Amino acid sequence: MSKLKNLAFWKRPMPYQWRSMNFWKDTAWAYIYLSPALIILAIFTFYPFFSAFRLAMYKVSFTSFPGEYIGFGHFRYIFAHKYFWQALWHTVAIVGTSVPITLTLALMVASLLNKSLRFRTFARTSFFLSYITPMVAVIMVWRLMYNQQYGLINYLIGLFGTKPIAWLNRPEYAIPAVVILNVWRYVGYQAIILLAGMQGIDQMYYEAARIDGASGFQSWRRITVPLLTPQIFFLLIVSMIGSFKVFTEVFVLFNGPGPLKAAQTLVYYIMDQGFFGTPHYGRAAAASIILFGIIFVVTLIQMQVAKRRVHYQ
Amino acid sequence: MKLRNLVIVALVAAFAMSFVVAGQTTIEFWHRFSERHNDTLLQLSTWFEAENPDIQIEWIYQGSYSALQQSITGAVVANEVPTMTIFYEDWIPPVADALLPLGPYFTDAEVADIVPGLLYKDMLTVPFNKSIMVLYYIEEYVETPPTTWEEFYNLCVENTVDEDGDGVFDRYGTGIRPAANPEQFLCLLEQNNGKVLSDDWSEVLLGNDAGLEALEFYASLAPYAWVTSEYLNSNIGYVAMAIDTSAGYYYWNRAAEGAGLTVKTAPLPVGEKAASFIQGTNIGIFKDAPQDQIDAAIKFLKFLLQPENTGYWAAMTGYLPVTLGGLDSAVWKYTEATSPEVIASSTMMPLGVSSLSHPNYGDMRSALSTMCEEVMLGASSVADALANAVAEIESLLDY
Repeated sequence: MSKLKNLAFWKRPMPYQWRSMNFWKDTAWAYIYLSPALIILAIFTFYPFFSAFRLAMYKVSFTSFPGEYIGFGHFRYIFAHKYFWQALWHTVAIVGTSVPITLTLALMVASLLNKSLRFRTFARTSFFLSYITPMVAVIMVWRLMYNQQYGLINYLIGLFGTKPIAWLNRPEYAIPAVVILNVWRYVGYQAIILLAGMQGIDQMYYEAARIDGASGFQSWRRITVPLLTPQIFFLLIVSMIGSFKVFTEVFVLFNGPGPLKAAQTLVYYIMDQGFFGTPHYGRAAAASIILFGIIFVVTLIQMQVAKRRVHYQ
Repeated sequence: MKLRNLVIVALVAAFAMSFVVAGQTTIEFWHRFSERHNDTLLQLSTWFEAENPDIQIEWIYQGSYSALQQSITGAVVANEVPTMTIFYEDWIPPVADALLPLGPYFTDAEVADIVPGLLYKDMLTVPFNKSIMVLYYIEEYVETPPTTWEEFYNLCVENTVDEDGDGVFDRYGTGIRPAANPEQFLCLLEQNNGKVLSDDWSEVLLGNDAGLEALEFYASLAPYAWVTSEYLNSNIGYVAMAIDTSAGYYYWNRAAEGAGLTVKTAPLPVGEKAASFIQGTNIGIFKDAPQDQIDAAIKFLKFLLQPENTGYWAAMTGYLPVTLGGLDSAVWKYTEATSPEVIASSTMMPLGVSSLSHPNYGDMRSALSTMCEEVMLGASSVADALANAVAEIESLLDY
């Protein structure tokens, strides 16, 4: 079997099942049942995806669509545009802070929720509420909480003698405001995923560790965390992809890209190019392809790292 | 026998009705007016249809302004356009080739009656719902509204106070929204006889002396201004006065009443001259619509621009009449008498200017917003911010 796996796919012999008529009948029926979903995906996902590559090569005109062919002109413009690099830096900052902070807090919360607590179900539900509440509604409430004059957050930090912070009106606080909101929103979701993973770990490992004299922390560090790596890896990929696409939080919190564009992310940059101000659809398409490329490369790197670090039971 | 006769009569009636319906022209009008504005639209179309029984207006609500813009874009690309729709000025250039030039359909007298600041190159659209920047002030803090830049500045200084001595200002003289509302600066620019571009769009004039002086005055307000992205009436009483759109009076008044304060309006303080900035949308007709719909749409446009009708629309919605005749109409005069807060808007309207219809104006506005923010947040000196904006706008002249 391993010899077959090492062969290029076009050199491998035809699988045994392919010789059976029933196999092809079952395959055909499967695709017939899948076809409505595939048609919708084709129209609303695949076609726009590939159209973006085409649009990125044109200076789009609405009255003579698609417009003037300019090749890689949009890409040259974007790579020379200071606001693109600024947006990229902001996006990296959000990804680099919110992902590890959220995951760390989620791990701690999941560990606590895994214990035999009173009102454990209530606690688990409470943490998950932040994820299931509609995002725009949540962000509008946070916008009030961040208000410099009467917001809850400034009131709470004021109890420790700190002066009110202009969370939404000063550039230096823009990214922290987005990160705090992001962390709060996704901790519960990630904690539930990790909790499910914890509950799937065989208790015999803990019993063996207890017999060997391991402390609670040692068990957590040497058993729980390594056996949670599949879930951690999944959450890392999903949360990094999600953090690269931050837009709604910025748009609703700041009613724009933030003071001095301090919270402008890559997706906001794309929307700005295409929809806010003079519409440059071709440029927006080009920027979205660049974002796709960045996320694709990051995900590939993550998967390579995962091959060595993820332990499956 | 009786039943057969009834059937025959019904068939004949239906046959006759089909001619009536077939003879009627239906205009498809895309808009984004909801609730109270929608009722006023329906009333206007009812009056129009009573005068023109062969024309029917079909109002189609498209949602928010951004949803409407996307609908228009999609319709133009797909070549499935409505008869008419509303546009912001910067929506016009990308679809200009699809619009019907309206100049040939209006007499010189009709064109002259439109508020001068609302006329555009080629007259691809006519103005519809417009508002203008006015000065809002809280009567409890500002007894007499300022009439000059100097008075405005002095009142800002006077009203920036730390009442409880904790080192944090409890009230500011004014509120500035540099990113969301660069029109506050554009009012000052216009009042100082400055311009962003030359009339033929070949040169950027923002960086000349008039522009520099306007930006310096704007920057001088920074220590006495609540600089924010929030709506200025969201924290009523936090600013003593502010330059804001007349269309926001309903929200200013509601906030003030809730806080036990009194908000009033006044014309903007005067610089070298009196001027203000008009915002809002226009109506355009698509040239690919059938000719009978175009003819009907032109009739409806002229109906909307009649003095009593533009006055009625303004009176019911909080917008402003878009013709000089409308500003003098009986319905608008009655509105001024019963709602004195609109007098400031009426006074400024003939002196107002609108945003450029340059194809890249959206990006130019973004450059202006950045310039205003840099100055207000102290990120750049006035000269550097102005130079950066001029350079960016110069790169946008070609289209």
